Amino acid sequence: MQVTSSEFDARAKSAIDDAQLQTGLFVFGKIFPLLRAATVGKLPEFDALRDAARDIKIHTLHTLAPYLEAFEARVTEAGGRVHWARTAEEANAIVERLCTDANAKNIIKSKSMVTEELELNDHLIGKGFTVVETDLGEYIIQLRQEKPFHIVGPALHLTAAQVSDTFYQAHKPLGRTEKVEDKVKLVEEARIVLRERFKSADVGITGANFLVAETGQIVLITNEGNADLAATLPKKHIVVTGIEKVVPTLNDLSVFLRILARSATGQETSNYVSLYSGPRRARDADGPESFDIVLVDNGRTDMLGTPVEDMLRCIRCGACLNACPVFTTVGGQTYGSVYSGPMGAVWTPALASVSQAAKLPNASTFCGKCEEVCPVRIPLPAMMRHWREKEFEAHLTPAGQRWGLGAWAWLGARPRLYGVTAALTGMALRLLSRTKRRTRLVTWLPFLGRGWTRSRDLAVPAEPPFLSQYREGRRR
Amino acid sequence: MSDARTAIFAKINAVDANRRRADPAQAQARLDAPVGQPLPAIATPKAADRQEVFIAKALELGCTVADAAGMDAVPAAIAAYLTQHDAPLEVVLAPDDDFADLGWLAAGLTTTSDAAKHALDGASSVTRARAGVAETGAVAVASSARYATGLGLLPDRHIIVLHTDEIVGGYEDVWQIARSARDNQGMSRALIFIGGPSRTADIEATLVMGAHGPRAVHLILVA
Repeated sequence: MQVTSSEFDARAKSAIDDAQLQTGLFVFGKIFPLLRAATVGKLPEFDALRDAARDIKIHTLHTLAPYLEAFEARVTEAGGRVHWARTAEEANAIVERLCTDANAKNIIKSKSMVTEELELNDHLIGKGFTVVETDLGEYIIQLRQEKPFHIVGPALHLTAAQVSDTFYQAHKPLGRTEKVEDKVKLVEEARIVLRERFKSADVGITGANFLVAETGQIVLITNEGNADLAATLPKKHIVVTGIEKVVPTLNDLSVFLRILARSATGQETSNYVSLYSGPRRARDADGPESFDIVLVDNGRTDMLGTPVEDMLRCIRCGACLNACPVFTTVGGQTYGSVYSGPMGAVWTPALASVSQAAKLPNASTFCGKCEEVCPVRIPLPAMMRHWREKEFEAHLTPAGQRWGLGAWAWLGARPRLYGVTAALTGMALRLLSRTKRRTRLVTWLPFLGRGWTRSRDLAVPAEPPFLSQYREGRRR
Repeated sequence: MSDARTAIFAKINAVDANRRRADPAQAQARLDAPVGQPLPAIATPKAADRQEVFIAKALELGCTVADAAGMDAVPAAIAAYLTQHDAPLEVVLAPDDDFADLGWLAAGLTTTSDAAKHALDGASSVTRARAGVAETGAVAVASSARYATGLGLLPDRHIIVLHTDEIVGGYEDVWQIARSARDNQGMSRALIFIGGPSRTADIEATLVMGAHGPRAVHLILVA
């Protein structure tokens, strides 16, 4: 996975200045959380379901081997084949071989974050296959050669006018010479173009939202129905997904079906919830002739048994991105990784390396909103803190910051001196402060403090200080 | 067995051996007898309310709903629907025995059973379903000799004939139906919950119906 997270700061600055991008971010930061809250409010059992979802995932991650074995056995019984891949290279090579063996030329895909992680499209296109994404958002960014902006809404940072330009350029060679700008007409144009792609495809590649060990079914959840077309029309269906997607039984699956769409888009259900296992049966009226599943590790087993294991519970709903003040200010492409926002800040260092992704766990205010909305209750801030500690241990933290943290630790270990320093600092801040909207605020600081006050005010510390209030029993 | 498979399981087993939380016997027991999970009230409506809840939810999802006194009344109900929507009085019928002896011609409908992918653009399909789910308003269909999955994906209009006693409460009820239909190859190839017409909001978060699949899903509830 190509990671360009080191350029975070520069990209964040330009994203903040990009008015158009900020309009798109308004949808994620304001509209999606409102929709989510409205739907969640109508389901009194939502929090109980989140607890159940967390417990199912914890149990499954503690018992991964038997569930993966059961899943494999059921898929084989249904006439499907399971392939295992340790790395992105292995996974891409397996898919390439399956396509070559089938004499395939045209491949259609439905949106899958795992295949983004593997950079499967680039690999297959490099080998001479035609690969077309069919989720509308993913199709748009494929035409524009961009990375997804958000794991659920990959192209929501673009305006209809931009999509119109993209379609006009891309579809001109297909004989579509009229430039349409209306959103309904743009969707219609994509439908017509992609319908032909679907019908002429040799292979359909999908991801999977869940794998059911009890039955050997893969679960696909979409609103457009594109994953179902990919799983139905071509003669070959290939599923590429991560080993952590397995859940024990259909009963467990129900829990996730009840929380996923609500958390992602504020829908009570997505429009297509589909369970597939194996190829077309002898009596079936239609379906693909073969069914292959590539189960990908790519760093996942390295997370097992470590402080970031809980990240493997993630069901890719995007709620943490929408809740995150950083993501909704700088947007997905700033992160330089296919996984962005809080979940990306934890996944990316695990999949790439701490040094490549050091910026991401630091791109957080630790406000805790992500953990608050996570449907599987992943302790995201705690895990970002873990990566910050790793970064510090590996001496990747900038010298100034290291020196500052060292000084702070030295002071913290000397309570008396700390108290005196805090009191003096508090006094100095009160001297510098002025009343602004009935609150005492520091609006100007010298030296290092300028970095803070250049763009925001600083609140004056409590008086008397917290520690003395605590000693007097006023705070506990 | 591939090297990759061996290596992946070796890594998992090494972690498991270290923390001793994995219990394969317990996992097998759970697979054999799935444990119950919290069941929200919306998934267990009273039998008397089920139909009403299902219809309300299906309408929310953008379906249209009509009723028919019996299977004999289905062709006329379909003809009325197509006429109302200025659609040709032609339908692609699923190869379902339930449709074999109905008076399609008498209702003024031309029928075909050509479910080839090239024949379905712009068409109106008619299929049966396994269940209607009150919890979500979605209809469950399953691939078989009687149901071609393409019929619920490629046509412009998907007309689904559902008996009122096929309306169930929640997902769990559909799992029971699917489990009892298992054969030596396990579950049916495809079990799909269709929750109204295909849609997208991928351009400027504006909801547009008819993304890739049917632009309209019409339910005919047969008493």
